[in-house]
Amino acid sequence: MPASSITVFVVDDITTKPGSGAAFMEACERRYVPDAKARGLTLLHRLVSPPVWLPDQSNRLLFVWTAPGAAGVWAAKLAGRADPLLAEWWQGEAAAFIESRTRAVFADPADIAALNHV
Amino acid sequence: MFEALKLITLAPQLGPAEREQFRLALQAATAALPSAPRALLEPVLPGSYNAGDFIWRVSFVDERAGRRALAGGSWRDAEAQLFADRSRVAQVEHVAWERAVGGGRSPGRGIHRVALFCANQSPSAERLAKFAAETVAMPQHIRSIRSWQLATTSDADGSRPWTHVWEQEYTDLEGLTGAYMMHPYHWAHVDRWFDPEWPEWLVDCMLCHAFCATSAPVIGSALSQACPPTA
Repeated sequence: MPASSITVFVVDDITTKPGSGAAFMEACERRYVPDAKARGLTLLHRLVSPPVWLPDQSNRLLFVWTAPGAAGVWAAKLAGRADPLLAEWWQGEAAAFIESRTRAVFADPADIAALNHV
Repeated sequence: MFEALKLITLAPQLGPAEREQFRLALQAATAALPSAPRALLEPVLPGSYNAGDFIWRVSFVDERAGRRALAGGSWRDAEAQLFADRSRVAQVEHVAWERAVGGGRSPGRGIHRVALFCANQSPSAERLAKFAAETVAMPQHIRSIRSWQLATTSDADGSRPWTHVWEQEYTDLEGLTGAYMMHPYHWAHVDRWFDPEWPEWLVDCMLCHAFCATSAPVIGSALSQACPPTA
């Protein structure tokens, strides 16, 4: 399979501040998701744990994005770096809801050889 | 070893003859520098960005020799004449360094690439050390990198207060635009230090990426002997 057609997964794993889960989800869908899609990412999953909005505890949210290979990841990255509002989102508005977060890039183990063959 | 590098952007209104005149004058001034065992002056190739028109680079045996040469009257006169006139030179990014880690073996001729970084997003000592360790591990994964060097600057001027100089040599352009850019160790791992979407974001989005053709080794041979080629 050509590397350009391999699906790459970009996963945001976010723990919200207590009571902020629903508000963050709403803000994210309104302020972040449309622009991320415009940068070429596809939102494959939105997951909430536990599946109840907690009023005085943290929720954990997973956003699973996909991109078509290295070129798709670079295209989204470079488009984001040209937009100063993106850094403002993560460091300002989003940060107000977030206790901790990680982002990581994943691929199917069966695709590692093809992705590394560059 | 003490090294200095400039990315030089000429004024856009200069014609080809004036550009060549500038290049020849800088080449002559560089050749007249005392104690400069190695010098590079090459036009940047298309695909570079924030890179200007020329990469200028000189290497000295140590900081004392380098600073003495660059403080000498003949170089200072030439530098003032060449760079002070804003109708001729629009922008100069300047760095100099002595502290660097590197390895590999130059292909002798091919492509030299330099990136200037400004690590200005919460740059704690721990984060800087992790960034540097992951960056210098790139050649272990990306085999097209034939020689490399990561330096922390002692002098920096220009668009940003540059903190790091990341250089590589490749046999050909495909090694840079293909393997280096498209390897997952780069875009799925090290690049998180450069991406404002990641919590690890460290490096200002304004960076310089410049590359040129070479006909002789660029990155220091002394470092190549000190650090064996990567696996």
